[in-house]
Amino acid sequence: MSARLSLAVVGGALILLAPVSAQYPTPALIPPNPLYQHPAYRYQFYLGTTVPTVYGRTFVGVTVPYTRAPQLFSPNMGRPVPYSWWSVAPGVPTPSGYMSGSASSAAALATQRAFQAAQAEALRLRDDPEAAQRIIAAQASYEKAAPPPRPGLPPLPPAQALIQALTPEDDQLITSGQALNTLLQALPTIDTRAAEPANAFLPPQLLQEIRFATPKGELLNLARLSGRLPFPEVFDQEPLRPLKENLERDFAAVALPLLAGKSPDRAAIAQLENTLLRLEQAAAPVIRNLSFDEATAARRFLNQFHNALRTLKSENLSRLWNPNWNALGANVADLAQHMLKHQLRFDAAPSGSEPAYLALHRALTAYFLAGQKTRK
Amino acid sequence: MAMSQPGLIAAALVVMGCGLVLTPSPPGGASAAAQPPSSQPRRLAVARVLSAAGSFASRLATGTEYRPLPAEADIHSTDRLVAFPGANLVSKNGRIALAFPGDLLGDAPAPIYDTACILHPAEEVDLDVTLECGRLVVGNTAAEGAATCRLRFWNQTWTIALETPETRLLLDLSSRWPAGTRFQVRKMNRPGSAAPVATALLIVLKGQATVDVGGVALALTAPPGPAELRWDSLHDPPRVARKLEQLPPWADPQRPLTPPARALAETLDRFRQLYAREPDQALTRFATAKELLPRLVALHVAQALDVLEHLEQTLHAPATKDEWDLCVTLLRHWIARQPNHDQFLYDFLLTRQQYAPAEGRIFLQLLLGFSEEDLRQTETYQVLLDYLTHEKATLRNLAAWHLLRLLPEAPRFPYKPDGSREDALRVRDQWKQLLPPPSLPSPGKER
Repeated sequence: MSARLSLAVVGGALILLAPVSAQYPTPALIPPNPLYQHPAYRYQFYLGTTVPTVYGRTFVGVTVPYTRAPQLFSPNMGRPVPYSWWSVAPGVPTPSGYMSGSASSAAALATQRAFQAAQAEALRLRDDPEAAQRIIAAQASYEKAAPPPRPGLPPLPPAQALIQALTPEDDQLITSGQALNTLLQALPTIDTRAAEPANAFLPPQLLQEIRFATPKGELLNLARLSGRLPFPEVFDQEPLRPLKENLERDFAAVALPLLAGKSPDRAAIAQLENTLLRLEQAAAPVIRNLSFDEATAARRFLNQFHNALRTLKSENLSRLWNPNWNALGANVADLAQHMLKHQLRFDAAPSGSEPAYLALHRALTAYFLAGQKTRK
Repeated sequence: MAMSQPGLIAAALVVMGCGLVLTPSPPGGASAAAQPPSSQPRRLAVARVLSAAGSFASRLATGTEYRPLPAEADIHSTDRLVAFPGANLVSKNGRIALAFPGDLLGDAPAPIYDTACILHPAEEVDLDVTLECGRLVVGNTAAEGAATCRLRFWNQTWTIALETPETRLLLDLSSRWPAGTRFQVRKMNRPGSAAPVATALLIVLKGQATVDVGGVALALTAPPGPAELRWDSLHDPPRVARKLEQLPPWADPQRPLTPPARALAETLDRFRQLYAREPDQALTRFATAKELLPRLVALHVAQALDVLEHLEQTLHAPATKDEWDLCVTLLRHWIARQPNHDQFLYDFLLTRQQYAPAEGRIFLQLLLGFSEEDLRQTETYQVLLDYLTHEKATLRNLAAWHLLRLLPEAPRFPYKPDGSREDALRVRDQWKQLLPPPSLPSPGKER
């Protein structure tokens, strides 16, 4: 006890006798934040110590800034957020901040994107001096049963669309699948042998996050989610829950062979159809008492199953999915060739999968440009 | 522990210091201190009715019942005033007159269905008025010199100097919720919550005026010249007046009424006379009239006087398509008249009409409408067809009202708004065949 006491006394005396700079390290170097002088980035939690180096004292440890610094010194400055390979599921937090190249959690990114979209919309309205008049005039016109003509934007010429797909100004063009589809359509024109060095590996986690459009694609999306289908909440209510469980079971019986590269059994398809019909009949009186957003979500889910069922009944689906990709992944050339063969298209990225889409876009762009260079 | 005397003195000084810091000094020094606190607005006679009896309906700030104002009656501050077309008033000092012409021809740039305002005690101006919705004409009725009017609407306060006698200017105020806004139950007046979009249009009809907009004085003259100011709730207040070569036709007070507008004006005048004589019976008598026009006027009046029961009952089983259309349009107008009106209607449906919360939310969403993105989704149409088979007739009629506008071929299979649920089921099956094909790929499908 006395030894401990004496140790404490000696330690305290050393602290009191030590120079002030040793007790309170120079704030200019701790933490190593280029924006340290800015109050918003000055105070942050850190765990570590300072060590003397030939360049002066420097900090060794971990810092967690309260406010994320802009990526002035990041290798990804001005580029989309890199895909974090360890982020396999939405909502799983990943390290963030300027030290990790701004890789952040999927949930935070989705919120950030929604906020950016809202800001862009507000900016669009603000830049349009006639926006308010137009909103009110459109509503008045609708009330008079004379909806204003909705002239959609004319489609861009192919060359211009390709340039836009290669250098999109907005991530939305990528996450909506539009830029990826344009690149996919252009890939048959490239020199694949020359592009081979840029034929990037696509890991299974990334492939899992891709969603496909077209009827076959929707079927494939559902099949790959089999066992963890995102049923809307209404299907957990009592009259629908048993039917939902039946549907999950019957769909799994169809999805398993499909993911193994085989055509599903006819009897299993008939069983699925029967269950879906019963679920839809039971859901109709429930849906008409739901709020609009809940009702559309439930209808959308049932529609996806309807489309999937139609495809199951009408198409030859063998080799619709390469089972090796589940474990070994694929590369850009394989994926593109497979999608073109089965007439699959990219659908919009589900919430949380935006980084995967951005990474895929970089890989597709590099592959396309490598194939173009040699053709010159 | 008892505090020592110096400690008490120090504490007292600190408290006094805090008081000096926290208490805002009243503008104008000692004279302003004599004013009553703003939490107790005074109810004073600030204007007088110039038009016939029954042209105004007035309601106490804290009340719910409207009463007609007789001719020459005093108009009090803080009362909510609903003006029927043709109503006129003059400020207490006689220097400013307000006219409420309405929009009988229905050709205003933004829809005008009713006009309501609140007068305030005039301080440093001749008349102080808040326009809640609709159209008013401000005129200088002074024998000579300028007259000043403070005009408030939405979050704006404009001070208008009508420079010469006979100067007149017109203000239109209209609002709507943007299509596709999602209804949410929220606390009243919560800052940052969604709000309707409003526009105001001010035009000098005659003479010259100086409008002080947030400290910036803008000189206006009747056309030709800088005659128009436009404001909307999405942008900053105007800083420049727009030049007009001539008055737009809809703003010309001298143009003749068309036969339908004249018939409407005559029916409104009959309502005004009856309302002045029998205020409790007028709306019921018009609502149950055999002719269509009085019933349409009753709907307009019910909306203006916040008689939501009549609108809801009419929507339950409208006898004609005109009443159905007008009823939905007026409800859409009512929820956009003030930022919290959507919440008031939701509360009304739940507490007074025994709607379930989900039914109330569907009702409000069907009034708010759908965005272009919604209309690109097949599910929107499917859900509207689902609502077409709802047990509540009001929800069926609201869904059908949208589908008739969204499916161009729908009128081929007539829908009876006063029909039964079985009729609606039959029409649902026919309209189901008209649904647009699904568009693929649809952006944001899984969101």
